[in-house]
Formats: sequence, structure tokens, C-alpha cells
Amino acid sequence: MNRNLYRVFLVLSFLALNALILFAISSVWSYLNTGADRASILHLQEEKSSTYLPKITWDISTIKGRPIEKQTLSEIERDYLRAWQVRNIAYETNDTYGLTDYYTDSIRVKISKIIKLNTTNGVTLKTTTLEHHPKLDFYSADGKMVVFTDYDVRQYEEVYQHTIQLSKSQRIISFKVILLLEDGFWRIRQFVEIPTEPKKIAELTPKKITFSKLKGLNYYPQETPWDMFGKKFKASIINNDFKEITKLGLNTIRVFVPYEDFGKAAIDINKIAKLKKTLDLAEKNNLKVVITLFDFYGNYDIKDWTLTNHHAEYIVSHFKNHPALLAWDVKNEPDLDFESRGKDKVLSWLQQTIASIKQFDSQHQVTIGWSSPEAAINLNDEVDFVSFHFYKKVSEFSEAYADLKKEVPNKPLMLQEFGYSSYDGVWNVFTGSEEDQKEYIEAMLQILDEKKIPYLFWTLHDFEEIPTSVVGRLPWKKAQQKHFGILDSNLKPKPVYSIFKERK
Amino acid sequence: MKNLTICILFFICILILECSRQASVTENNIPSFKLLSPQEQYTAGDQIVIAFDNDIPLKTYLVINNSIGTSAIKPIENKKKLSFEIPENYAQKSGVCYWSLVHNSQIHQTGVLNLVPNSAKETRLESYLGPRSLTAGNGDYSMFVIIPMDIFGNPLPDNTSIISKVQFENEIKETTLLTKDLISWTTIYSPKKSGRMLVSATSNSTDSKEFTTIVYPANATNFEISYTRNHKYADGNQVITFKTTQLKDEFGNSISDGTLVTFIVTNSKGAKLKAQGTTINGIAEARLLHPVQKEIWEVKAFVLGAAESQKITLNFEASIIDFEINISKNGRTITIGPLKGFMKQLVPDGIPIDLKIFDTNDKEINSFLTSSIKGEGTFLLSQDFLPNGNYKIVLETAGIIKSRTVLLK
Repeated sequence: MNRNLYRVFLVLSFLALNALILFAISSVWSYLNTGADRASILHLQEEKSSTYLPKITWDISTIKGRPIEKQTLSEIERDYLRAWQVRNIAYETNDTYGLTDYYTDSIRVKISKIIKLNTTNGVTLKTTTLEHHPKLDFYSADGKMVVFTDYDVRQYEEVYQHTIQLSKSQRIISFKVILLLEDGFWRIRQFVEIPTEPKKIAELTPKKITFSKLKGLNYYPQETPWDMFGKKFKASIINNDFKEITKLGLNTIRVFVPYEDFGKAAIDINKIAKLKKTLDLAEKNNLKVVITLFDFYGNYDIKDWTLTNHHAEYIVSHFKNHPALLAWDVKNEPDLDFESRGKDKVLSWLQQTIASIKQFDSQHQVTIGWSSPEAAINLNDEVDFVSFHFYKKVSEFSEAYADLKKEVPNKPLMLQEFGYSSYDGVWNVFTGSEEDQKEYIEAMLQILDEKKIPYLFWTLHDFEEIPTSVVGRLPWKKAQQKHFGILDSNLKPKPVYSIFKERK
Repeated sequence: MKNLTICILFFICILILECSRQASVTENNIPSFKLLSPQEQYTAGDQIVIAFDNDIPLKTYLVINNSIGTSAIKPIENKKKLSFEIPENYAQKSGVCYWSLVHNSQIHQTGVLNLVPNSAKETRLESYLGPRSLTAGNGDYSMFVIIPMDIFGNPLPDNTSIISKVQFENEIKETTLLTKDLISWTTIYSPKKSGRMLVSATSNSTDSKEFTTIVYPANATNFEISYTRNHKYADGNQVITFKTTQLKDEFGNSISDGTLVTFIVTNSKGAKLKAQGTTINGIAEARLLHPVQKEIWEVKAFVLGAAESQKITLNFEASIIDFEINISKNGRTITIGPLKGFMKQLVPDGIPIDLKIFDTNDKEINSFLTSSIKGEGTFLLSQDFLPNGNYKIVLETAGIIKSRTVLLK
């Protein structure tokens, strides 16, 4: 017995020793294989993506001195915008880092004095410029000096004292600028503000939408919810779904364009092609599309504005002439970010994004997909029609709607999302059912018909996988989210389906 | 004990309520600020004070903004009225300066100041001239840009007059310029003569610094060449020197030093020889070694892409007229020489001697090259390469060809 124990002990200790040795060797091995990537020895040039992309349009028609070369103009543009960027950062951090490259001595001294003053007073600035319209006045024969007038610069600025915001302002300003080419940098030598003629803003009259007849749903393909334009994109599936939607007598869908997925400021043209395909199919099936931009975007920082505008500009100007497009929805449920990002910050971003989108496309109406009727009061002056979502009890709807209507009497209201989960399982103690869903939708539709409220319900299919980024990690939330469809995950109609079928 | 707790709680509640009521009272009571300094036009460098008839220094700031930046300033202390002094660096910058009065993070009033440059005091001139080198004539020009500024570095308004002065040799030209878009500029065309041109400007009795532009001669025009040599014999030892006449541009300026001139020699076989020289005072020289045999050279010189010379022809007479061949008994040592020059002197070392060996079928089987030492050249024909037998040998030096038949033993 004792001997057996001894043997077992010996064998086990032998195994343990071996395991330890193996572990030690592998640790040493992996340690020796860590460190800088070998390619870094080569000091290859890194691709730097621009982080400051205001819209800039040059006018070179009346240049004096000598004609400008395309290459030089792009270098001037790069350095001029970087000059703005380093100055914005310098005033935000009260640090003169980087100014040397983009400003000549005399103007740098002036900026440093302001930074010193602001440091003493604890003042910091958050600034960005969204648009520049420089007109070249002069380019010298030796190619070392350029004079231009930057007209109608759209500048947004917030002034903080310590952490308290003193003021925020948006200005349209114009400057006369002299740049000198020094050490390969186009540096700002003179910067003089000139009076700006207030521009007549043309009254924007976007196309009318017949809201009373508008009905539809929020669309994701069954297999790829929240990843509609990903690798699994299949036109045939979408086409079949669209046929199904048309069969139900619906005429509108809402799709989502995720900000990061579409490449942020550097737009991924493959995704654009897929979105175009989707719109083409919608047109083929007589469906109108509300495109919701900036899905899953959550930064709202002033430094990000030029990037989001760049993103919006590409998509909006690319699709503004598409016959299937109904309206632009700036963002889905931005009010949910009020708490984590600050209400002011989110609203400022939305406000400027609406203004930018309207500039890129004056033809289509713009809205925001607020998560509740209460939140929809925000920025109701800025949007063309007010969209809100509603997932509470049917009985609470009429009152919430009436409250909103009272606050916003003159703009069309749209119920952009509503629905009911037919989930019946552990997480809700088997209290849900597909019949409940049918009841809820039926009751809602009755009210909506009565009050002639345009609606888009949530959604066509039940989904099998819900990404964590949508409702979080909690399994009971995910389980709920899976069962909002009028078709189940095998594409079989659920009881609620019949309502739409009959209403047709 | 319990009662006491309730009492305390009650008091706390009342306190909180009272406080919040107090706070809300001040919040609702929006103070009015009346501007007491309505002046909007200032000159850069003026002392600017913006005053209001209210005195709430707490949480009140003046946010000021100009093209350079934005600041928030606190009111001046120990003053009865609420007043703000615009900091020096803002008061010295011409252009638009916006202000807004902020109290409790609320903008109560806004205004604009217009600051004009301070042209009364001294004017400063910032001037740029470029390109700093020109070619004579031909419409080449450099550009003179002047930025007149006030003492604080603010550009003066449009239509400020500036006199630009250009000196070249005895002539001084003055032109009056007006500023537009912050600058004034003019083009200065190059004169037909090469030399130095001085440029400066004056405005409001301030003079700029002096700039120099060097006017370089334009491209060379066609020219002539000549040669000098010690003797006419093709001795392969002397050096012949080619020389150009003075190269000039179309305006008669001697072309820039260091211009490259290429001399191309074509010999009687059509081969090209090349020699190069750079100009000094418009004249370029190049040298070549005499050939080793009778030759006719045709020489022409070029400034590439710009100018060329006439073609000259020169003859070289043979220096070596004949030579002797000595073959050893076994036929394996062949000595040539002594080679003698035009004065019967032994030629300098290094004259190339070529030997070709043919078999009985006249097929070339080997060739050797040596050069003369003390007038003689020797070939040793090794048994390893050339077995015993009859061969024909052909010797060539200084363009003279001789052949023999040898029996190698």
C-alpha cells in the first residue's frame, strides 16, 4: 500500500516536473519571440489617415502672379488645414506643440500670448471649422508665397473656464491669409479677418412626403441583423424580403448605415455598392427607404465633426438622387447617449450634422430617430419631421402622442419604431406569447389608423443572434430582442402576420 | 432619540428647500447689463475698456475673439462699474474683434470692435524677391512682393502706396504700387546685359532692405574653335589643345563661367573621340593625345542644346615610317624595332604593337598585343599554345602592316 502510494507520488511528480519544464521552455521561447515587428527596422512610411477633414473648395479662377499647379495646391490645402488643426488642439490643451511647423515666428508669438493668457485664466477652447471656401488671390513667381481669401469659414467654438462651459458659438467668418513656403512647410504669415457679407440662405424646401399613406417597417435581413452590408450580403434574399413586404401592402422601409462599418471618414466603396443595390431593389419593389446614418456612432466630440461630416457628405451626395430614397434619419436613438456623453454635446453634434446634411442634399427631408415621444421634443425646430419610437403599453401611447403633438404642433410626426416581442421563455417566466404580440400590434394599428400616424414597425423577422452592441450582454434582453418579427426565424408567419395580410 | 432624528431630518429638509428656493430666485432674476462704452472703431494699440452699468463681477466674463484666437477675461477689480480691459495682444491686432458678455454661462450681450491698423506710427515693410537669379533678356522676370505693416505687424489697408526701386548699372527705376489683398507686387524683367540688379521699396518714409538679383547671361550662340599643337606628327605622345573663341549670348554677354563645351573628333575610320572643357571668361579648352598613326581629324565643338562651332580638319603625319622584324632561330622570339620617329629618334615608350598569327590555311589562331619599350617590342611564342610548324605572322604598329612566314621549332 505504502509502496503504491510512493509509486503514484513518483509518477505524478515526474509528470508535474515535465509539465513545469515544458512550460518554462515555452515561456522562454515566447519571450524571445516577442518585441517589435521585424518590418519596423525598415522604417517604412506609414499611411496616415487625416483627422481633420473640413469641406474645402478652392476657387483658382482669378489668381494673379502665376498659375498654380495641382500638386502645390494640394500641399497648400494640407498645410493650411493642419495649421487650423494644430491651433485648435493648442487652444484646447493650452500647449504650443506643433505650431512651429505651420506658423511663422511672428504669428506664433501672437498665438502663444493668447495661450499664456488662457492658461492664467484657466480658459480652454474646443474649436472646429466645418467649411472653407478659399479663393486664391496671388501666387508668386518663385512659388514661395501665396495669398488667398478664405470666405465663409463655418467655425464652431465652445469656451470653457476650467470645466464650466462659458459659451458656445457658431460663426461664419472670412479671412485674408498669406502663406510662405519655409523648410517645405506652407506656414501662415498673416491672418486677418475681414467682414463677411451675410449670405442669403436660400429657403430650403425639401420634397413633400405623403405622410398619411406612409406605412412600413424597420428592415434587417433575417440572417444578418445589424450586419446588413457585411460579407453575407445577398441581393436575392433582400429582393425576396422586399417582395414579401410589398405583398403586405407596406410601402416604406428603414435601413441602417453603421458609421464604423462603412469606413468612418474613409468610406468603403464596397459597402456603398451594397447600399446602392439595396436601394435599387427597393425601387424595383416600389418601396421607399429611410436611411438612418451614424448607426453605432457614439463619440460626438467636436474634434470628430469634420470626420462625421465627411462621412455624411459622401453617402448623402452619393444617394441624394436615388428615386427610392425617402428621407435621411441622422441617428438612431441619440437620446440614449445623453447620460454617457452629455446632452449638450449630443445635441450640438446633431444640430450641426442636420445642417450639413441639408447642405449636401436640399431635396430630402431630415429627421432624428428619438427613442421615445418625450425625447422627440429635442431639436424639433431643426428636423423636417419628428420621428419617435414607442415600446411601452398601448394604453400609454395616446397620451404620450398628444403631449408630443402639443409641443410640436406644426411638424409631421412619425412613429418610426414600435413592436412587441413574442418571446415566451425562462427570462419572462413563460408569460409572453405570439397572441399577445398580435393583440398589441392590432391595438396599436387601430390607434395609428385613427390618428393617421405614419408608422414603421419593428420588424419583419425573428432573429437568431443579437450582437452585444445592440442591447448589451444580458441574456434576457437578448432573448426579448430576438422575437419582434412578424415572421419567425424559419420565415413562417406568426399570428400577427395575418393582421397585415388582412389589412392590405 | 427617535424624535430627535426626525427633527434633524426635518430641519435638513427645510434647509435644502430654502437653499434651492434661494438659488432659484437668483437664477430667475436675469441681471440686465447696459453697455456704457458704445465705441466700436479703434486703432490698433489703443487702450480698450468695455464697461457695463451693472456690477456683478461674480461669474461674469467677457469672451473675446479675433482671427488669432479666443479668450475669456475677468472684469477689472476695484471698479464701481463692471468693466473689462481688452488685453494688449487683442487690442493690437487689427481686424474684427468680437466680444460677448457671459454671466452664469449665459450670453447676455454681444458686440463687435473694428480695429484699424495703426498707420500713423511707423510703417514696417516686409518684402520678398524671387527668383533671385535671372537670364538676360528673353522676358525672364522676378517678382517683388511687399507687405506694408504697422508697428504691431498688422497689414495696412488696401491702396497703401509703395514705391519700388530697381537699380541696374547707371539706371534707377521707380514705380508706385498700391496694395491689394494685403500685399503689393510687381514683376521686374531682366535687362539685356548680365550683372547685378538691386531692388528695394519705400512706403511712408520707411525703407525696405536691399535685395539682389543676379542677371546671368542667356544661352551661348554659335562660336569658333582653333587648335594648337607642338608638331604635326602622329607620335602618340604630344598633346593637342583645342580652344574656343569667347562664347557670347545673343546680347553680347560673355556666357557664365563653367559652361560645359564638348569637342567631338571624328577620325579617318569614323570613330568618335570626345574631350570636354568648361568656360572661363567665355573661353573653353580641351586636350587630346596625338594619334599614333597618320590621321585626318574632323573636330567640332558643342554647348549641348544651345550652340555649336564650325568644323575644322587637321592632319597628322606619320612619325614612324618603317620598322624591322627580327625572328630568332627557333622562330619563337620575335623582336620589332628599333622604332624610330620623325627625327630618327627612338620613339617614346608605349607605342602599341599588334601581332596576329595565322595557320597554313590562313585562319587566325591567336593574337598578341604589346607596347614598345626603348623603341623595341618583343613577343615570345610559347610552345604550349603554338605547336611546332609553319605559321604566318602579321605585325602592325603605327599603321604599318608587315607579314612574315615563320617555322616554329
